[in-house]
Amino acid sequence: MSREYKLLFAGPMGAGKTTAIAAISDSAPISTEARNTDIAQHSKAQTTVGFDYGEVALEGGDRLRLYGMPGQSRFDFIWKVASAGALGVVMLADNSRPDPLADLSACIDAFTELAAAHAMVVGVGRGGEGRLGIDDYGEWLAARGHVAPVFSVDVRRRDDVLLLIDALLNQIETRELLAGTTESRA
Amino acid sequence: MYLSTTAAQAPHQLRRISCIGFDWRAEVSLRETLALLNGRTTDQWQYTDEPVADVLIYDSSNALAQAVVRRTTADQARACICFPSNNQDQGELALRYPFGASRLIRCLNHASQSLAGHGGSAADRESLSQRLDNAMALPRIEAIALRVGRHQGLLYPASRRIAWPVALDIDEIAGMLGGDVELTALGSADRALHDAITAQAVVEGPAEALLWAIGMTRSGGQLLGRIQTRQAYRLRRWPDFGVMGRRSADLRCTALLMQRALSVGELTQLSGLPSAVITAFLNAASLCGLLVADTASRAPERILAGSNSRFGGVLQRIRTAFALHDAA
Ligand SMILES: Nc1nc2c(ncn2[C@@H]2O[C@H](COP(=O)(O)OP(=O)(O)O)[C@@H](O)[C@H]2O)c(=O)[nH]1
Ligand SMILES: [Mg+2]
Repeated sequence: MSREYKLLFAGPMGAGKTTAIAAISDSAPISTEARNTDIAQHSKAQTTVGFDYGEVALEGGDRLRLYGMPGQSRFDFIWKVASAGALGVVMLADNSRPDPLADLSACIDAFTELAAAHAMVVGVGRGGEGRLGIDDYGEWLAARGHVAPVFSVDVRRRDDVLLLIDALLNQIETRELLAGTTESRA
Repeated sequence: MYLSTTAAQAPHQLRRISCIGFDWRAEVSLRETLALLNGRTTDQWQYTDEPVADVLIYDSSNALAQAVVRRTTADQARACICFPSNNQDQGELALRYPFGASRLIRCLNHASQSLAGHGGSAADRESLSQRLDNAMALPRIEAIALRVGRHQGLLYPASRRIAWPVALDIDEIAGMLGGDVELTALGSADRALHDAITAQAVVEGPAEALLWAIGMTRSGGQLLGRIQTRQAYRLRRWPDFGVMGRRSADLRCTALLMQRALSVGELTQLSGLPSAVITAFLNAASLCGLLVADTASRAPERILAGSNSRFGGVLQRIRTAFALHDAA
């Protein structure tokens, strides 16, 4: 039986979720309203929210599903549902917006578990257009107890999206690798 | 005052000389003349057959010798004494056969001078990474003047920012790394020089991409002296690979050191990467100020066989789907 895996893309309107998903999906992303997925089943707001969706076929018939949704706090519950069983989350920030950290803070609480499991990565777009530097994002995350890669990206470039995915995969892989080691501190 | 980044040149430093593309009689004559010069040159000269010599003497009519000289001087500072094929070529570093002792002495002293401007002897010459690390560790240093070709700028060690005449994009960095990088540490007494360079170096920004690239490409296979092989290290934060580019090996090492403090050996073993890759990675992280020694006392990592992965082989299959293996 084929299995399905989830990867989430969060961020404010215009941050590049559709663009990022389109860059790596097998076919152009579709906006789903009625897909038989956990998100659709739980989303009361599905008709008004709309989210980006893409798919990647994996060897052996399995599928990787890519979900993109706005990171506003009123959709927090959707993210909580979606993040259950997800491989990880790519948070996209738009540095040209008035308060990019407030955008992140709107949805970060939904991803505490993924962040704790080293399954979160942050991509900052339009880095040159705002007042914040990459370090500001890292410090902001650290102050909330999160450690995540923060990269300047332009998700219109496929390779930048792959960087985010590669970092995510490396975090998960090494987490599992380290779980297989003993760490005995004196 | 300059704080010179290279140790003061001891008089009679041992230097090595070799020749390529020579008639064997000329080579024997060179060895014999060298033996007679003892004590009469600035440095002490020893003949070697190894390609690590500080000075190469070559026959300028020999095209193969010229090609070898061009290639080997590109990755190492050295002086070349030419054995000119005609009478016009009479520069300071030109020699004629049979060698007159006084002419050879002048040539060798000239070579010493030009080598002194480049740092130590070729055999024990420090990598650019190490020289930069030395310079950044100097006390009361305000900036490091960097010169590559015609461009000159200032690196500020405390903030790890750099002022450069043009934007430091990937192409400019690649150009810098292809050349000889000259370093001069500037203290508070070097205001005038500092200001003169600042007037030209008008583009200021983070130096992380440059420092990272130097650690990656100009470490000469040697760990920086400050990195202790028994010490466990972690990383302070993720470097911005969005700027530096994606290399899977870097991502893997970073992911490991962001989750657990590891020694050089443990990192090598856990990552499964060649030690040359680990060396370059650690140097790069250290130059960027991201490598932190872990103070907690600890027992070495033990890697348990057959640990179970919650995601099974799916991570590998996602890599395959995105062709993510290539960048390693
Ligand atoms: N300059 C820049 N533009 C981007 C970036 N990402 C997306 N865009 C553009 O921003 C617009 C909105 O992107 P979209 O993917 O629809 O954002 P979404 O609302 O998060 O799905 C599109 O025109 C994109 O081409 C980026 O990283 N840099
Ligand atoms: Mg969208």
